[in-house]
Amino acid sequence: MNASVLDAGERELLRDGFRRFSRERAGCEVHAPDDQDATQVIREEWRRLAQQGWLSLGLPDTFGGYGLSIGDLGLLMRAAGEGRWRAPLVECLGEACGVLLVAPPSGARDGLLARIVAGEAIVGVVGAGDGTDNVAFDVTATGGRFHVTGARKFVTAGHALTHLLLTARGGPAQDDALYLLETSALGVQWRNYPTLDQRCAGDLTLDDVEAERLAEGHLSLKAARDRGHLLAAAEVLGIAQAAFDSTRRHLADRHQFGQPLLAFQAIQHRLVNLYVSLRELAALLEVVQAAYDVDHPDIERLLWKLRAQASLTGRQVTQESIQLHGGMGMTAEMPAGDYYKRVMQIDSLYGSREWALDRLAETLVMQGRAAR
Amino acid sequence: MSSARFDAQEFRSEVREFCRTHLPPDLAAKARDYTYFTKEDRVRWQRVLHERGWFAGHWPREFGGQGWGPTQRFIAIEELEYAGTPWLTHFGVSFAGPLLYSFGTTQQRQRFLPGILDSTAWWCQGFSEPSAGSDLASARTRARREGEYYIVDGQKTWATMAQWADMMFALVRTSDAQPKQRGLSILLIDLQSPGVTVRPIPTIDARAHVNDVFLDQVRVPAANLVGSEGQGWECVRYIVNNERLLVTELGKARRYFETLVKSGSTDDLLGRRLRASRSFARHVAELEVRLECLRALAGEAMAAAEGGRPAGVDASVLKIRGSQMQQALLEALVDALGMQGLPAPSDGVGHHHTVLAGMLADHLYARASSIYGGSNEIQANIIARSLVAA
Repeated sequence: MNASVLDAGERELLRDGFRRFSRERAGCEVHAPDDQDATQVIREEWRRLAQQGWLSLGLPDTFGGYGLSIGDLGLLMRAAGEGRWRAPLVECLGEACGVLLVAPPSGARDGLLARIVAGEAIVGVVGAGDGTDNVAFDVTATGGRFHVTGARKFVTAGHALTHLLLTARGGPAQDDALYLLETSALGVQWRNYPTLDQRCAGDLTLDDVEAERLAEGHLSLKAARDRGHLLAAAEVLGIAQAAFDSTRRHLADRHQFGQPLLAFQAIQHRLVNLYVSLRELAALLEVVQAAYDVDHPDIERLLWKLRAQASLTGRQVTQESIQLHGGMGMTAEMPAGDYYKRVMQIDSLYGSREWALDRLAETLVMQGRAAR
Repeated sequence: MSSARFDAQEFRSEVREFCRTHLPPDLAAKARDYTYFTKEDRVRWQRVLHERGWFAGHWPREFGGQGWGPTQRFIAIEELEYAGTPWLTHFGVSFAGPLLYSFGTTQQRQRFLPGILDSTAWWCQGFSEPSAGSDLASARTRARREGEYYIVDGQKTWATMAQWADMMFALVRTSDAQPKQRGLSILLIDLQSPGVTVRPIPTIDARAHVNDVFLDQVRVPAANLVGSEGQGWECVRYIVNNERLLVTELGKARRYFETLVKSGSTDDLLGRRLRASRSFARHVAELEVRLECLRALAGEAMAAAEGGRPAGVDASVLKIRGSQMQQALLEALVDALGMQGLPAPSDGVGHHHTVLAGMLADHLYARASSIYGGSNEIQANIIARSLVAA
């Protein structure tokens, strides 16, 4: 597949751009769940990302992308984590692109990917995160037109999405297929609410909504989930790194008992623990990203290992960050709490460390059987 | 003063039954949903308890209490927490009140104790400052004596429930005596006084807990000095000792634990019952052991307190393990109940589970349990000092 063609200098340029973007973006506070402003704010942030050309990171050049590796997209995600961006990158560049890239080529599919790169479409996949491939939607076909009915709770980004991809069952062949619909279509209803990580989500109801059949045959949403939580892991790394840096700064600045807190060896050792944990996640992320790029045969288990480590490092660093900031870490003003809440949300959507370890344990057993 | 006699088992049953029958239905509903109680809710409940004689049960009889010893008090608080009743606001009934009947003048007791007992007066604590958190003895808020008044200037922070409070007992610096502890005193400040500004500090759980209290040339009657000038640090230590068994929050832990066990009936991401997962069951078992240890530690500390033995580092041990227990339980609860998306922790917007929104707020606030009341780092220093000195 694609390997990164960026050298160190170009990567640094990208990172500078990300930092500038973080500084310039207005605080995208998503307060009111049904506030149209929230949707507009997210779509505006999305548009500005498109203008920078960043939405094409990690996509093959056939769709107007840079043809770079997933690791370069990971750089964007790390910046998004550090900068507390609200844009649904995991949803669109992760899950939606994940399923689109494995879907059979077609004009509709190619066109949608191009629209994503151009910043014209913000696409979410419904129900990819749980990894069950349960089909929650029915489709009826009349005169060559398809209509989807069903419901799903907690679709992240909610009505900020312009399009939805989902698997629906029905039609003349009573088969499962991938469908695309516009959120502005008739019959789409959202019950929106704010989320823990200061974004928004919605409970979705589809009532006979017109949809386009994008791919024939059952398409597992696993590709969506895999790419989604790979991007989310990079976001967690960015979050953890930022939490670590701000903690280190605070410990150097804060004086109690006549000394900076960083002067105390016990505090230094805790910082070291966080540093080592960060190094582990960063190193593992590189390995898994590289494996993803080449369709490594063991990618399934590697992704679970990454989930487990991202959850571990993510929680450890953000929880410690709050603790080491003292009372100030509990204030809404400091980023420490925001970092922790986003880590919690990602764990909730893709599975906690415990969840990932269970999946690894299951496959460990199965491997053993296969060997015999 | 000898403790009132009582039968532990009987008393525990009595309190449990009382909570079941006397907690008003609307408050019971809030308890079930982990909804944050309003000031009115708390006042109402405190008065129900007071009518039974249980609100200030640990106060000496001569001051309106029942003369409970540490064990009886501990059992009462444990059962009240376990039932999910509104947290007894300790600043009045556990801190200011005992401070006044131990150090205060007759006039101070007559003025302030009745309001504490019947919850007509709400109290808060003014100890921490921006530059004096863990290093509390560095407190800089000054109280300058001028005739029959002290003029107070400075800033207190992390004042819990100050937004509801009428009075604040504040740690102030009345002299530059060395060591710095010797220059500290306790003043009772009426928060309606000119020059007082209470400003809420928003916290990550989106509930209103703590505040900054700005004091700008506030005139406080000299009659509001507790004890003598320079006795402030002794008062702080007295309050810390009074708090030593409260910090365990054992009843709360038991309540969270039971909720966690019940959560085993929910489905995981793959549609399987959570309790069927061996790792879930094992994790719950691990927490069960920790809870048993916490209960045992508390029992030991109670026995020591009952026997009048020095507390040693009991308070520090209980604080460390008590806070860790809460955080561990709430982490497990969010993992169990919060799969596939976490809503904002605002009350009344429950989704997959009605308790999730309140539980999330509890989870986030519990990150502070290892920070407030003397951070776990400070507690570790206290224990370390005793180990080194031994």
